[in-house]
Amino acid sequence: MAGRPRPIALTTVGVRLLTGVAYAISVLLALAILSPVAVSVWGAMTTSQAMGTASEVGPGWQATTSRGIFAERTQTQAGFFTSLWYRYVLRVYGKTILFTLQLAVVSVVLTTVIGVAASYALVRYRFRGQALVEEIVLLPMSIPGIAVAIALIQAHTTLRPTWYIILVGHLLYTMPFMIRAVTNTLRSFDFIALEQAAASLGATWWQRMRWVILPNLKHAILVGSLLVFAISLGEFNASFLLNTPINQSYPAALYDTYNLDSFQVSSAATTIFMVLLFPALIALQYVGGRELEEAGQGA
Amino acid sequence: MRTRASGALLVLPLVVFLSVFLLYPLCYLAANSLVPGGGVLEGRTKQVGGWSAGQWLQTVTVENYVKLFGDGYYLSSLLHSVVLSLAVAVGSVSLCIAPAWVLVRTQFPGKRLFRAVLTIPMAFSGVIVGFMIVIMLGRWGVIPAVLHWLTGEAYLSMTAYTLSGLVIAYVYFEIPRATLTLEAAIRKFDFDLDAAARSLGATLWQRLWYVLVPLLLPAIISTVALAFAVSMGSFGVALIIAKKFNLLPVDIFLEITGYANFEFASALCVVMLAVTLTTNLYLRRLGERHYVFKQR
Repeated sequence: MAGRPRPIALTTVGVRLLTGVAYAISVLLALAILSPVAVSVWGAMTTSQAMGTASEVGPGWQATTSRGIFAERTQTQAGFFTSLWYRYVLRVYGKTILFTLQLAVVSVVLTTVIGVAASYALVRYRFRGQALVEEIVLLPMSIPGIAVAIALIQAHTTLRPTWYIILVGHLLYTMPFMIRAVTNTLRSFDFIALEQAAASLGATWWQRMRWVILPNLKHAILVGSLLVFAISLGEFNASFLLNTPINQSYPAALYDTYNLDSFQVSSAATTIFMVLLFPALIALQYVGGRELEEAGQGA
Repeated sequence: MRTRASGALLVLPLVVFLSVFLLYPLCYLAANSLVPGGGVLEGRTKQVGGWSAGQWLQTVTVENYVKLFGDGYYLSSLLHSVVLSLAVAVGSVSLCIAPAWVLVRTQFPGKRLFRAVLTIPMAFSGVIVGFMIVIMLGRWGVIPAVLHWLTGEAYLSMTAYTLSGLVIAYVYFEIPRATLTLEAAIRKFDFDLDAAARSLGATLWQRLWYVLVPLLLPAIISTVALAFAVSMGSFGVALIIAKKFNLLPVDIFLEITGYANFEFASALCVVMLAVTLTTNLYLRRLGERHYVFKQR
């Protein structure tokens, strides 16, 4: 029998039973997460179109069997693998998709610049109001996005017509992830000793930053950036009210398709969103590790 | 090495950003909730946010709050939101302890993939979750369709639009956050304590109840606090499926988009913030009190 010795406590029948139950629940949860994803990927490929909007009717198969008038139309059109709905979404919401990507990338850049500098100062130095700053950065995590959006609209009326106000909303809700990822890493090793060693060899402040601190933070910044990108892409609560007719983020466009378009168009729009999102999520699992676990808590 | 206190100035951009775009707007929100409500129904004439300190002092009133607490409609919205959030908090903790346990305590092929699947909903907006519950449990959803095919009766049709549908949707949304928090807590748990309890003759239930649960309690409480805060404010799901009853975030949204009554919406926001923050603070205190000893 090779491998790690099993902990003694894990051998009773009761524990095995509980572990079995835990497995069952886990499998159910994974299925519950995956099945609607699969249904929307599938729905975007069907050529028939449901009668009514997605948020009210959903897929509409039953309409084909029980409602006579729809049955003929949907059955004559039934088929598979059309790109019609994707082309429709890209034509109507193409600009929105680009705008959302722009928001996500700018959020990553700004949270990195502001967040890494602030995290370094927060861990390295002692100053007045330090604990307060840390509390306030994390505040958006526990306050509703709609309240922040309404506060921003009223307090900064001059920014209202521009896209900067949407950016601000995204930054408020993504900054905590970057700060957590970087401060957790900084607290996990004695970087002051490394800095002192570099300084004793005559390194200037800039050289210490460039060659000692930043290389050690590379991984944390990568994990933080991926989290910021993913969260920014899906942000809805704060940005929905901050959107303007010209500058609209993609989740708001999704809301429009659910309320105005059929299940097929909505599925295509949702699938496009997942195509944008999944690479970031998969990359997170592979580079992840401890930073993800700690920064993702309370996400 | 010279320690430069001026290095602490690196935190300045963040402080400026937070004061201008978080603290100042929130203070403005609180101040504006004390201004008489406008809105299109009463013929809005003034610009949004158009008052100086002097004007504010002259017009300050609590009429928005009187309207809010005097009207059964808004109180029922608040009650619905609180009940929903509590149900979601309890539901997500009791469900997600299972995958957290499996991820820490067992080894199986494809574990990384399983973990990736569980984190999928993390970056979904509420609207997507709303859409997904409609396609699974809505009028012609997948589950009713399958049940119709099996039994000839479309059971569970329209579940998406009920309170239980909302709870399911919000729990779906909470799975990644709750699992990650609980997983970290279980990983820190010292299983020698469990072995010690067993060698002293403790039964399974005694070990769970007197050893495991007390040590995991801080993490459980913080998961509950987080789930509560997220569910109080998340209105994406509710916008899509809450057609049968009123919820606080949806009311706020309608107050803005329907009536442009920013002052009354601000008052509703202040009440929502107060409920969320006090609950969070209380639960955090509770969590700190239950630290039996600091775990490494």
